Amino acid sequence: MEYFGYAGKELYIDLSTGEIEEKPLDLDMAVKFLGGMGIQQRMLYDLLPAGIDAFAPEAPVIFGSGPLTGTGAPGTPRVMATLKYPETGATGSGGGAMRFGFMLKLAGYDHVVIRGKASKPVYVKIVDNHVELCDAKPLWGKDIVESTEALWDAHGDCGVIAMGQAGEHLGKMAQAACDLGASIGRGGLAGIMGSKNLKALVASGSGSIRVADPERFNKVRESLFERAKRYRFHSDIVRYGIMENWRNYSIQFGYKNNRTFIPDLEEIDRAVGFEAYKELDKKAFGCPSCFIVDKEVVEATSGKFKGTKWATPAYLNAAMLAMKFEMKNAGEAVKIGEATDRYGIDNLGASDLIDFLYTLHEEGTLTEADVGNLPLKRGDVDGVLTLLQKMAYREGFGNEMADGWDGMKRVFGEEFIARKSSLIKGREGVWEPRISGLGTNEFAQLVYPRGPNAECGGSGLYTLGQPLDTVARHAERMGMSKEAIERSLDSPMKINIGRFVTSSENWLALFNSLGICNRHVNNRFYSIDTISELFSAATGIERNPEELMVHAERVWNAFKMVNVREGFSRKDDEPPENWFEPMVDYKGDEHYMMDYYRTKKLNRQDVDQWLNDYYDERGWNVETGIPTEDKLIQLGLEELVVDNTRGQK
Amino acid sequence: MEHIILLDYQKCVGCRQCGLSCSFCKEGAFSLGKARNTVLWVHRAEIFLPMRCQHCEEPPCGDVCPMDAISRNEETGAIVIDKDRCIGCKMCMVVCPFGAITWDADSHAMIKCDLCDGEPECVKHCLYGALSWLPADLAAVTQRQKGAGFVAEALSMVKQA
Repeated sequence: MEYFGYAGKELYIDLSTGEIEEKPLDLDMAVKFLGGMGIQQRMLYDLLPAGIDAFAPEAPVIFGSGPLTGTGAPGTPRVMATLKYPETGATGSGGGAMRFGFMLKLAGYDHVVIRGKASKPVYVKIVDNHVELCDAKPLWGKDIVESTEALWDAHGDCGVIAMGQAGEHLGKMAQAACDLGASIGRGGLAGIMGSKNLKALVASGSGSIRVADPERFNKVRESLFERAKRYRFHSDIVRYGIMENWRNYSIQFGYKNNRTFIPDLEEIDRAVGFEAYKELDKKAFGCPSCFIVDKEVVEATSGKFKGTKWATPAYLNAAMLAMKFEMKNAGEAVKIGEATDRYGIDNLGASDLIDFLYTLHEEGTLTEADVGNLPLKRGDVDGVLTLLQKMAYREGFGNEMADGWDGMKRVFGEEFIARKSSLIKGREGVWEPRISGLGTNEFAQLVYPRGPNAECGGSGLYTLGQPLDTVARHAERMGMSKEAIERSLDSPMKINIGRFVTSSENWLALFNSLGICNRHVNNRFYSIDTISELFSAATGIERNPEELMVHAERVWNAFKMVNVREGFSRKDDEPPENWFEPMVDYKGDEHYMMDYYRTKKLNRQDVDQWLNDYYDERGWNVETGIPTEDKLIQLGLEELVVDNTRGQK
Repeated sequence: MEHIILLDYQKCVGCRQCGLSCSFCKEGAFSLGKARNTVLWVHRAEIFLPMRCQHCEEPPCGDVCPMDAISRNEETGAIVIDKDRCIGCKMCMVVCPFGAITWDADSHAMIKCDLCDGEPECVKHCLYGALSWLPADLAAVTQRQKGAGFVAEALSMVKQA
């Protein structure tokens, strides 16, 4: 059978037995769930024994791309890692990019399912249809940079996903990296890889991806290129990467002291923000197919860490750490960012964890003696490096840190952590609604089945202060029906965030399943019409915009049901107490959680009402937050109905 | 005036659209293996190197070909292979310092860049300025303008007498 868009084969690897099996792709299933996140979550439902420990050898990890990956459609390099995450116990599809997923498609595979546990360190090597488990002993103990470079040297033009020492030590906050340019698996993917003795995956493909209607496909492709060429901010975005949006991010992520304090952003900007970033040497790079790259190799040009080079998805990651830790300059920021990436520690998560410890120390609740004499003084860059090292290797108090908030609960007690942190499903969110208002990014953190994440809801209200007509235009672009838009804009606060987020999520499901990068600078070029054309022309299977959105909704419901089966329900979507406490800024002014357009201070009833609206919009049971039987049947997910009564007790 | 593809490797970001566009144009499918060019990440130097046919003035491939199958298209300046004369001995592949020529197992032919008859697809899809299709004289000036930037910076460090 000839496949278009899809590569046409699945790979199954059992690390315990060493068995490697190829199967032809079930095209009906693939199209039903689109690919990527969609097909992987559905597969996970079958392959993941319910309730199993995330670290159990039987727990699978699925890596793979979507039908648009490996085509020349711009910005389609995505690879998803689908598994049960140890940090939250939830399942999710972590998004990565760079060359692995792309090369996997060119090697002939849509996804690879990995189960079991190897008896000694291995890495998976896929070179066209030659698949092997290779000895990873020489790489074991090496950091992500060393491992990745060694694998590039050994295998030439290839895509590498590698984990570092944090993963080897089964860290719950350990993540892997794709060719040093994209992180993947925030929430412990690397810890799972470590538990399987799986150091890395390498793919190299010399094959082709065919599209069913090349002329029709290329028409859309060329129009996307034309628009990018005319985009007036294109060169700024390439020059400054993700920092190009610093004006928004510095506000959205400008919090510290356990999310109680908003510092002076002008000072931050000079020390470690945009002004400091511009002093760094920089080399831009990006993913295969990308037409608006944002990744960078940055180098510190002065100070103690002059000459430190860091290949990273974004300097912004370091800026967020550096702001919380009061680092003095971009060099210190680069150094600590580089350290998190070498060990493979989730920088967003670690920034909150270490900030938490510093804050307790400043409050007098925690002494350095309490943590085995580890350095807890904020502003000390060598102290940060020590903490990261201990965390990566599980040394001393680092053992508690390596277990993330589970470790902190062990040390300080559940009640203390519930009071002090803003955990949702056991992990800290990224977006802070008391600063940026409860927009789509912020609200989506509550309901994202995987646990709060940077990418969960975005679109439309990703940046601050979007006028309502802009939001409405984005809503159309995102495939919302006229009725859905009306319902979502029917609110005294101008936007019913609960309803709107359902569409943001469906939009994300589309991107994550087809392989399209959902970064807002890439996202903005795509509309539901463009995607419908590309999908139809690529696969030869006609899907109009309305039909595609049904597929997206199906993907989201399947994703939700795997998590329902793991015990998640409305109780896990509740906002943290801290959202209803004020934050204080450096001038002494209080900041309360308001809606996106700042019409009113929000209380728990407001958020509960939006949760009700969210479930109602999704056609789920409002009390339990679980997809109803009717909804599942409507979406062709009858076989998942058996699990939809969970969580009702 | 003869045009050349001018390479600015420092602007290359490794997006591979040059390769994807090439294979799509020539083979009708997206691939890196079928592309007539490759972009390689040289991590020690931290540069992306687009490896492609340089359409040499004195091509080693032409010198070595036993069948005189290799010649220059006078209109485009491209070094091209006459498929009817080519016997597939692969010696051109062996001698090219840039790896410009490969043997395609599917079509059983030597394949290489032919500058797409004067409208190179790779250049059209490079949004970063790594590839430019320029008349030869303008290419020279472009390079000098780039170099002038570096020289001026160096000179500004030297104290004037």
